[in-house]
Amino acid sequence: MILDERAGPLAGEPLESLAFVRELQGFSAEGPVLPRAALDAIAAADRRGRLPRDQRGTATARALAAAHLLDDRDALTPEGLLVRSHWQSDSLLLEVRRRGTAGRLSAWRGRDTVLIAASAPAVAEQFAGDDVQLGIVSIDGAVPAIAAWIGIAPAWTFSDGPVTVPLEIYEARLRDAGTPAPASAGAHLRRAWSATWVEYLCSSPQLSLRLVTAGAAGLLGVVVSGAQATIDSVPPATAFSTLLAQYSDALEFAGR
Amino acid sequence: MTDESRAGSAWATVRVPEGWQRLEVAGADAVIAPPPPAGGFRPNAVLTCVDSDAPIQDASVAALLAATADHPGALVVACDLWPHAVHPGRRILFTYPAGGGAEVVVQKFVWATGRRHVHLTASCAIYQHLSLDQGFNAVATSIRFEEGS
Repeated sequence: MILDERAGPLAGEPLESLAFVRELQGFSAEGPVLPRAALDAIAAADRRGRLPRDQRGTATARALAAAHLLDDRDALTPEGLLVRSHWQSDSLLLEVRRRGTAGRLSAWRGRDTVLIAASAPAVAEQFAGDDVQLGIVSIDGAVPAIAAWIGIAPAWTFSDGPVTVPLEIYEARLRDAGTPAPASAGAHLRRAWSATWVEYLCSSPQLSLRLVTAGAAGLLGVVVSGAQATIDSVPPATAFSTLLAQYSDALEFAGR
Repeated sequence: MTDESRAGSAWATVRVPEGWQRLEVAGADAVIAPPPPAGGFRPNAVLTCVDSDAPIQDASVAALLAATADHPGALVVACDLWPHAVHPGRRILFTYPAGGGAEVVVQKFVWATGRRHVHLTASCAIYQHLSLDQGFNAVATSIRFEEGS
């Protein structure tokens, strides 16, 4: 059993390393990878599933065909129609925009399922930045999928209290890990400050949640107000529950 | 068991919240559950003890590994200190797909007494998690280790 040599002193007792858990799990979707722009073409198909004329024979159409979403008559396949069915109610439940390594995850509600279109996870980068992988999950399976994409995972978390910094300092730190930590930062935030940061802005029609993943130091919650950013550690369980609450509200709004 | 408000074994007991029921399940020291919902998954909390003198760090790693090994597709979300007992503890949170589109959320509380590893495994459907989270935490907080545990 491996101990976490950095977290243990913060807790005042030996703590097991939790890093191995991240290696056992991650975001996985079973659908095709295609350019995000191809999703617009699917949405623009007519009632019978035929692509608009100006889309036929284009690189977008070829990408859809390669993903088995379009047949050789420029009509959506049953799989393509299933993807499109998630937009008939115009129900974007949740969108997560990623900064640090740019990316986006969108989740739309269908009748009994949720369509997820996600850039490659930040830790994986298996495919091009403008491409998305599609996945259709159950309504109850969406939050674990989104949490996995963000990288919510066990991490020893200690609160030294929130720290407020000028927004430009926060933005500088997002761009450059060499940006000095604020003088008021406690031991846990200092540890997190020195890790690799990726920001996730989770938005639903009702509210937004801004999280930063900081490697083994876990998650930070960030509240931007005017020219200030308030940063505090967030236990992963709390982040998961908050994301679940946000999703549940969005489902209710969309009329589950 | 002489205290009607508690459930468990000779080694550990938890308080049974008002309105909850005791269920008989083979292999468990105790199973308690809130009143059954009109349909869907019935939430429950299962108390078990196994002999082990390994420290809490080992008990935690074993529980984390079991979460992914026992439940294909599981996502382990959290592992936190659980300081509300005389023995060191952890609270592990994970989810797993249970078939038919269902997703179960598990809060697994683990303690190491020096002689035993005590587990309280509280499960519910994901859509029940926000309303049951505090109730399960209260059950875990009520853990009492009996003499000789």
